[in-house]
Amino acid sequence: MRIKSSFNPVIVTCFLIFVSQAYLHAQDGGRGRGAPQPIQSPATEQSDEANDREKDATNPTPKKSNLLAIVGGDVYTVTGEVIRRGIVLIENGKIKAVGRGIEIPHDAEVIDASGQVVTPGFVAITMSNIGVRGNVTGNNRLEDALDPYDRNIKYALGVGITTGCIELAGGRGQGRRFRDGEEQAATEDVDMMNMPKLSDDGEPNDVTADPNSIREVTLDELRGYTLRDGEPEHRYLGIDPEFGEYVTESQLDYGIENTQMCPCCGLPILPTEPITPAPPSQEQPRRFAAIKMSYGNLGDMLIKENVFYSPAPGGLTGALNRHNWRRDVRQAREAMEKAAADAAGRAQGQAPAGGNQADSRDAMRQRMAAAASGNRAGGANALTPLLKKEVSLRITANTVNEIRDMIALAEELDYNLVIDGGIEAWLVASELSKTNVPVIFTPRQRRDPRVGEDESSGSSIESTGIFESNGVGFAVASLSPSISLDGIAGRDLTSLPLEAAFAVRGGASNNTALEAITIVPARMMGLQDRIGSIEVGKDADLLILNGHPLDYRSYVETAIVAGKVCYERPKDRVFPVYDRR
Amino acid sequence: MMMRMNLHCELFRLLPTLIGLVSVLLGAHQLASAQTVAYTHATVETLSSHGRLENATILVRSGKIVDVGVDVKIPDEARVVSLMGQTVMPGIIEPYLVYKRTAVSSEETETVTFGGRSFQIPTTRAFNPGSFDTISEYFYPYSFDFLRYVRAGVATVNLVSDGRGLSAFADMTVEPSADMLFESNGLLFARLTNETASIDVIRNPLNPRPTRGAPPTGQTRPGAAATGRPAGAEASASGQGQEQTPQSGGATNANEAQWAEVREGKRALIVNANNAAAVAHLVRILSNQPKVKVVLVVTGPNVYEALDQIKGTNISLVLKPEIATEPFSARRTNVAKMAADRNIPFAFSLTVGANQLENTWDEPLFPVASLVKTGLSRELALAALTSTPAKMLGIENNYGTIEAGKYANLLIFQGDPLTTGSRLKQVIVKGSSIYAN
Repeated sequence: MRIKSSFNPVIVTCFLIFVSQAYLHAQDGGRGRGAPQPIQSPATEQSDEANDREKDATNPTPKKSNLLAIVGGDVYTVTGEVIRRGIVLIENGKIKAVGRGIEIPHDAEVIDASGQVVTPGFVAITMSNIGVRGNVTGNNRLEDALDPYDRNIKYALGVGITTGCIELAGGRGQGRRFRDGEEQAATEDVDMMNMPKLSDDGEPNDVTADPNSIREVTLDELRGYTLRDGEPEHRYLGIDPEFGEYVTESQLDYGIENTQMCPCCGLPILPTEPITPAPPSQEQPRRFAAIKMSYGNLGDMLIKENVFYSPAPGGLTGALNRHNWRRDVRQAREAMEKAAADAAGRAQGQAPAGGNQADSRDAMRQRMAAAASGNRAGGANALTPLLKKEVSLRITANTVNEIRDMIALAEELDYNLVIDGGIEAWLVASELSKTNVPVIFTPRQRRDPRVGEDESSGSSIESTGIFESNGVGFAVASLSPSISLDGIAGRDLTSLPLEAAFAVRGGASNNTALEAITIVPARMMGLQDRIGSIEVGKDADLLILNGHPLDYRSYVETAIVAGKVCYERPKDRVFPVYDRR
Repeated sequence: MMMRMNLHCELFRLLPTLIGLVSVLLGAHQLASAQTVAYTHATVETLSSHGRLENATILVRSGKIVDVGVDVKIPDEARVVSLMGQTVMPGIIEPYLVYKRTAVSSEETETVTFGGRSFQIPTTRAFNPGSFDTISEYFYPYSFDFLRYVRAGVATVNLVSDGRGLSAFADMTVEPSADMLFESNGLLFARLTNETASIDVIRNPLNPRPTRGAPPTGQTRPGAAATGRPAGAEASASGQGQEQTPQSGGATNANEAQWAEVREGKRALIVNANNAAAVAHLVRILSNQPKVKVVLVVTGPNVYEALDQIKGTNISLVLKPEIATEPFSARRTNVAKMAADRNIPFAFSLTVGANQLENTWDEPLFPVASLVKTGLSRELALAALTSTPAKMLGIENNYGTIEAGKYANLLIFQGDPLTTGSRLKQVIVKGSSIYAN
């Protein structure tokens, strides 16, 4: 098809040029309007500066700066005071400026947070394998196992967690209990379906041992109350909701008062065992790593490996364990001092005579000693960061005695200590405060006092208040370290801020509770220079919330990790999107 | 009885004659392929700069295309085949046909202890890089069902295993034979998950470390000469290195020539990554390797999330032609369109998904058509089946388009290849028909 045109081609061309010019002009104008206006803070003046900036903008700038400004929100800096309607300026993933009256560069991307709250990203001090695919064991390295597209990262960001301290190997919150050989030996063909079941007369069905050697125990005795008539009496091994604890075989066998549960690991301490029992778990240290929840951004994920030195629960309990531990620490310290002396000698130009051979022989001896002492962290070298106080020793301790023991060991051997659990820590708050030992604490965790020690054991609802008034630092951990939206809602990581709110219920102030999920865990991991508060020079891990961070009604609207927006509530649809009235 | 015997004798007497007759017929067949054939009045998707030609003629002689066009002069001796109303496109090139599956079972169990008791729970086994599969070495076509791929219009394949190795290229034939392979020295391929053992398979050869592991052939370690250690110490040291990375060390030695070409960017490396995390790790490995070209086979559900990382790199994609569902949502995605929007080159693999071919009997391009219906450009979609994989495999001089000088690998469709109900009528490879429907 051809269009016969009677127009003069020159006129047509001119018209086309005019139209295209007009179109381009309109586009330019549109872009000017659509761009976020450089927001003027009250302290700066408009006019000349704005003109200057426009002039600057017209100059070709080859280096593209990566600027982001969060403007108008109430900035909870955590370590400083709350800045009302403040500005946070981010450059290349770091916080460049915080405060009011900060000039926003013309080329900065601006996020309007007016009427909202800006806080540092939360730090989950206990987190299962989120952002990691597969098991980080053996030759599989953490940096290769990172998964920046793990959907759980979005859930973590949805509640504001931007950094997590994950436990490697297994990721079930517990180290492996057995060495490889023992695991095989302990394997039984037991599954959920053929667990020993109690019959109605209160005895396990499948007691195979000599009945005379077992004291008979009835269900009433076991549970501490009398059954009503007609009440069904089916009890199984495992979690018993009425009993409130795990019902174990030994409790069924020996009765509740004769069976003390090991408070750190939950295994029964049988009456036939010696007073200082052998540790129930192998002394393979647990491995923790700090992972940033930078969704889709592999490069920023790994903050630090081995943020704690963490013996398995019960690993420093008992005379033998403590002896081994003291010896290991002494050897490591000697090796460290010798290395330092050698380095100093080398610096002075005096090579130690036959130093290399002696070194290697010493090192071998130490390795052998370490191997003999139960394969602790591949020798004394793993202890060096602990003794240099670059990392803390994190260990599960819940009872008064355990906590006191751990404090005494830490004082004696001179390293930093972090108490994990701390159910009875409220009873030793002054000692914790004196020795500057922080606690990883779960406010909603409950434990009944032991019989006869009603006032001096068990959990207290006022723990967090007692901690604060005594000056004990505490980080809040959720009841479960995982994200499991189907099973234990309200107890998993997605309610970490709510767990911190329970710290407020226990008597702590709002700010202390906020510190407990930001700067305190950051300090525990030795990362207080990078995360945990809004300060100049720190990583730009920020949240924009539509209310107070500890309010159950608040949602994270935007999560910024390493200066990049990694979560937006309307887009990511982790939480329901609607406007609350 | 006697009669029967006579008949048998008669047959035996006739046998040489029969054999002669058959050989004459075969010779005639040979003759036919040497003969010039003119496919006329066809709609031709040339996939070349000529684009789509209506009422065109394709001239084929000796397995090659002699001429294509609207005004081609048909020689007098040519056999003329009229394809009125039918569409011709180049034979499909399958860039990733898994020829050998290593028996990896996912039915592993793990023993966990809880409260002093042990339980068996299902688990996934750690990555095992497996052996290095040189496809041409054990190519045995007779037990492999090539017909199901031929029926889908696949004319040329790149044979791989689901582990790692060196691929081989093959042309489809009427009967499977060892002569199918036309390139035994194909491309290096590897499967990638985000585990150290898997990443090392690619990372170590791309970043050869002269001081650790097995030194590349013809290269001496710089430290060895300086310290002047005896050869025995050297050997034991390298032996230790190999112990630490046994698989990668061995592979580096065996295929150093191919890896060197990969590092130079002379040939592509095929990587099969099944999730976005593995893609992120691949991008990280390639960040200091600007020359390396990678053909990334991506089949996992959340791979679309990593497309922004792929943009601007030397990575081209092999996609499964389907409307994918985003994980954890009901949203549908057209990954091919997303790749096209980001200017990432991509090809389709019809065989990557299980049983996809059976679902689209006679209309093999139905899944591609659905992508075109939802926004993918038609030209890119057809190119992703033909010319793009040809470029990926480095055989674009002879394959991938309908142009003079290239092999006559042609598909004849009843109508438009991307229309429902348009059946694949005939598959022609190197001038001879290998399948007719």
